[in-house]
Amino acid sequence: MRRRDEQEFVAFATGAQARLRRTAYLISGDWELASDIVQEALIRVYVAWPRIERKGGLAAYARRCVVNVAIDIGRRRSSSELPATHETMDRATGSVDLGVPAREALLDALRDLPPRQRACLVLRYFEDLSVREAAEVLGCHEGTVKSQTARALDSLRAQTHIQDLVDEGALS
Amino acid sequence: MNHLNTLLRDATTDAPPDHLDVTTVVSIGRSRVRRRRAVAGVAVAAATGLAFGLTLVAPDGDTRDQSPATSPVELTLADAVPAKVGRDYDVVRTFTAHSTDEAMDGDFVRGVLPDGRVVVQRYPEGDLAPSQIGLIGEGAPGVVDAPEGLGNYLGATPSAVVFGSDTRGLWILDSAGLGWTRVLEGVDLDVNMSAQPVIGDPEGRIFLTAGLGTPEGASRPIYRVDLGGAVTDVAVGGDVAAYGGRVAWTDVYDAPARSVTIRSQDGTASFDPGTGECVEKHLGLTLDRIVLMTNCSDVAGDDEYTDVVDRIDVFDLDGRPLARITGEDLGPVRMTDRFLTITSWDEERAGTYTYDLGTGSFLRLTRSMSELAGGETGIGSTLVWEKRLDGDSGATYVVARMR
Repeated sequence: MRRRDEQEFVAFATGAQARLRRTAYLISGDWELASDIVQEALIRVYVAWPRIERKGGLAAYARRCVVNVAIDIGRRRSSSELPATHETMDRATGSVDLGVPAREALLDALRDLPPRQRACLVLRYFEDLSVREAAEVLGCHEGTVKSQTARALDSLRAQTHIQDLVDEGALS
Repeated sequence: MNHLNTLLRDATTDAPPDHLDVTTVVSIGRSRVRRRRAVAGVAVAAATGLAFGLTLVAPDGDTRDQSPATSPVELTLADAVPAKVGRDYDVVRTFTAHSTDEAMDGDFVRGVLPDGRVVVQRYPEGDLAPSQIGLIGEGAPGVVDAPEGLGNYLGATPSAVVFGSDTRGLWILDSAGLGWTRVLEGVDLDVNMSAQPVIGDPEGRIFLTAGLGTPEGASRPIYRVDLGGAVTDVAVGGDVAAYGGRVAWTDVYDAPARSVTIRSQDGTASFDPGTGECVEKHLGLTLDRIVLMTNCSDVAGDDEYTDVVDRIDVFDLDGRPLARITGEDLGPVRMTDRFLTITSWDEERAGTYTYDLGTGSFLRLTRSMSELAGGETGIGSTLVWEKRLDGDSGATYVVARMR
């Protein structure tokens, strides 16, 4: 990479890092792991930099890398070890306010979802992506995003203690 | 903004300090670029045919070189001839479906049964409610509510339609009585990535991979399953395909494959597919062909878990390369025991193509892609493809019999 490109990359990575980490955290459930995911994703962005710079859409590409790495790690973990623990999720929720119980319940429920379903929810309801944009990030078809999101929401609704958070009105 | 939206944002507000250092990213990135260039050189060597030395492992474990190595027919999408209805195929029936952010309606085609009935999925109450599965043939359609957690369509036997599950195991639909059965509930199957229906042999047994491997290796257990739920270990490998009493598997999935193994009543043989550092994505098997689909342009693995490939290699059962189809942004690629159905999103060559594994005929079926293109799969000489309908929001599914 040319020096000028590298400077541009550093500027981009520094600016995007925090946002990407929040996305990685919601998918992985662990802030430390989220940092690792973002590091790997940004390395991929670096490698692909000349190509994606021509195409544009740096932020979208970086987000796609984060999601792919997070899903990759999540799926490999699910087949070889236990998923993220309550402790890792709880680290994020140190403040005490009226929203904490609901937030913790939601994070617990998120943790129990398969990684791709979790990614669909995060892309649709945290990143505010359309179905098509989420499908592009995930490298799948729109119908897959819809069905995975629907299944994820069904799973959340099935948990009575957070049912009211994801009821029909809440998602309008 | 809704509750879920707010809660997700709220959950990330008090992040602990980040240990990530962009300087480290740059340093590792530089190193990876150097390694990538070296790997790309290997891939080019493979692409020119230099890596087609063939080694077969006989049932007794002997290895022998097969020479001379043959050169495959090389095809790109530009070589495909426009297909013509009445000359190349006959339309059996069509279905329409629409999908927007607000609603899904119509018949989304998922596959074709051995008796010719078409498997469709309907969403009468939108995609947030349970769907219905319909088996549509000449007579009255059979429609049944889908069970909660129904996964993707995987294939069919003469008596059953097989679906994955959102969680574990499989859902089996009795194609006569339309009753659901769940099998293998305790097994973490990975059944969504195959290029062809997973149904494997005349008895209707299916071959599956379980789990997703470990960080140490891109391989996993391969099982043979009968629809009653009995499970038999087959091997450890990557992707698996089965046909007519034979089963084939790669050594790894989503990584460069070094061997394809075929097991039949006659014994077990392996060959190097010569795909170099290209990342293995799918494997298919027919009566006399093996098909390996790889992604050569992204050796760093940026496209994991997508169905995009850029190279399709066709071999005979001895591992001799017969044809190679290359192109940008191919996928999904589906196959029956006679045809490949290849979709391309490449701007200049977008559309659906079909390659006849028996005759080598290569046809272009459509000139555009529908956003609803997905995993629908034909059977035998009956193929399914989509045409755009109402811009990007709908599709006409064409079920056609190839001549």
